[in-house]
Amino acid sequence: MRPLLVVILAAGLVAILQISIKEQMEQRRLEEKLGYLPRKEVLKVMGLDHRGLLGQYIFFKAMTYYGGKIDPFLGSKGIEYYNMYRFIDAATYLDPYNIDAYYFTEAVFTWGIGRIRETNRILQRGLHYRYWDPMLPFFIGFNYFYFLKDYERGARYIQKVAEMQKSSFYTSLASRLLYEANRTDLAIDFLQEMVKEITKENLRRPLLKRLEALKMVKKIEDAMEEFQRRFGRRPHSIEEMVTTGILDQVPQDPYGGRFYIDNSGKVRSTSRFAPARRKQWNR
Amino acid sequence: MLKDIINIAGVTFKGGLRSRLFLTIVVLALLVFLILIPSMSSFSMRQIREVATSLSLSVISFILLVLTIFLSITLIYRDMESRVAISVLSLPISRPAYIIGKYLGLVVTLVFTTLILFCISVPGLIISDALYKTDMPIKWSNYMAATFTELLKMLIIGAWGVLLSSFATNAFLPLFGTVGIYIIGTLTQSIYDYIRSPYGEELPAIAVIGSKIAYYLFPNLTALDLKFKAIYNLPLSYGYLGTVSLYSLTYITVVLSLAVLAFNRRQIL
Repeated sequence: MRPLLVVILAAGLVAILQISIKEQMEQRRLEEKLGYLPRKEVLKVMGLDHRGLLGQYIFFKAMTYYGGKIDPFLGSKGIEYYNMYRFIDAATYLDPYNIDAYYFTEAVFTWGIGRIRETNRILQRGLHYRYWDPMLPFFIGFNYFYFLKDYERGARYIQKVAEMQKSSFYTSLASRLLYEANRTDLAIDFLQEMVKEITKENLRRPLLKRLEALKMVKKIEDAMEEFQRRFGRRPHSIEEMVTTGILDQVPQDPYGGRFYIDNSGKVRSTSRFAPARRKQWNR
Repeated sequence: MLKDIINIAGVTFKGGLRSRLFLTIVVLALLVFLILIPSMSSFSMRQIREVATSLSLSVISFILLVLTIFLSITLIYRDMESRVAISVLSLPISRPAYIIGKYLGLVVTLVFTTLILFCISVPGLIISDALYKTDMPIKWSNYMAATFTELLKMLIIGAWGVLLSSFATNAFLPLFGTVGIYIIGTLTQSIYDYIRSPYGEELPAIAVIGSKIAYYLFPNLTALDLKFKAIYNLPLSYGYLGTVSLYSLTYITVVLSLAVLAFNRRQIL
């Protein structure tokens, strides 16, 4: 009988301690720290042949930490962002294919705290390994043009997306960025290449229209250069170039707008190079 | 001699069957692969199948490693301790036949275990695959190849275990020796890559030479690690698979021959 009594008593004690530990652990959750992580190179050695799994575990830890810290009402105070960045850096170093980690990085470090260059550094790693995945160049390109206003670099990455996807949407986006970056010539070359690649007529049509618009812009830009050479100043308007004989007529915007030269000397159109909106939406 | 080898291998394998080793593995595998892995991988956002594959391969690798180390030590050492080896060797069975037979017994046990683990992991992966539709469904050929190379790794470690047991007089040398071989074999490629990088130029010459010797002497287990190929469906050529299989086979032949030589010289009282 005695051993049974010991078992019952000990089990009861374990249960009480278990409840106490549970409560203490719950308390800990509120002030949980992400903790210390050794250097990623050391982790790679320690991970032996399970480094992929180790990388995924480190990412989970960062993700659950962030999930526990972010408060829908109070926002995100007291989050160890730098430490979290180190976790993600190590996680993607150990498992450079982990797409979840790249999505997470893009979502948290750009929109959240505006660490664009740091985010792009991690995304570049993803692009190197996940060379087939269009989301990574899309994120990088988007970060360049939207957050850093670097249209040319942005366009370069969106071009990659367009090449991977064979999509008219990304092709248009990239050409638009190149136009914003004052690289109309590159935008035209890029569109011409894409038009050759895309065989579906319904996808080709909008690209051809954009190509035509950009050719018109290029024509006006060339005329502006010629005007500058002849008269030593910028033209005030496109019509001025027609009257001086540099342009034979005002080029037509295929989107139905009217071309003009803005204050910074850039060729623009009243259509903003977008198809006219349908009337029923403008009630 | 061939008959002796097969007999000893058969006895070794049956020993595993009798000790309910496989039953334990089946129960463990059912729990891990069908319950634990699908539920753990569902924490992932959009790569549930990838995490499940990663976990499955790591679990297979870990179970095989523990089994290999445990078996390769006890195979010969236990026979020596219980003096079974003496009575076996007093029969008209040669020492090489005994060593090779013991190793083959280990091979059959590991192959059988790998098959069990592989078969049970398949429904777990199918469940995980169904939880989230991706454009990267599991590529079974890569998964099979990765499981196969995990087995090859363990066969190499097992051969080292047999070599160390063939002359060791206690169980510690084979135990720490096989664990050491596993760790060194996994790291040699990383160390070799490091000494070839710009950082390596700052290292003393002796360290570089030592690392290079270790690189060629110890098994290159990184070459046999195809987990990433299976997890992310990366391209995998049959040529590569053939090369690493041949490498493993020749490496095992060398180690086993050394084991036979060492065992031939051993005094058995």
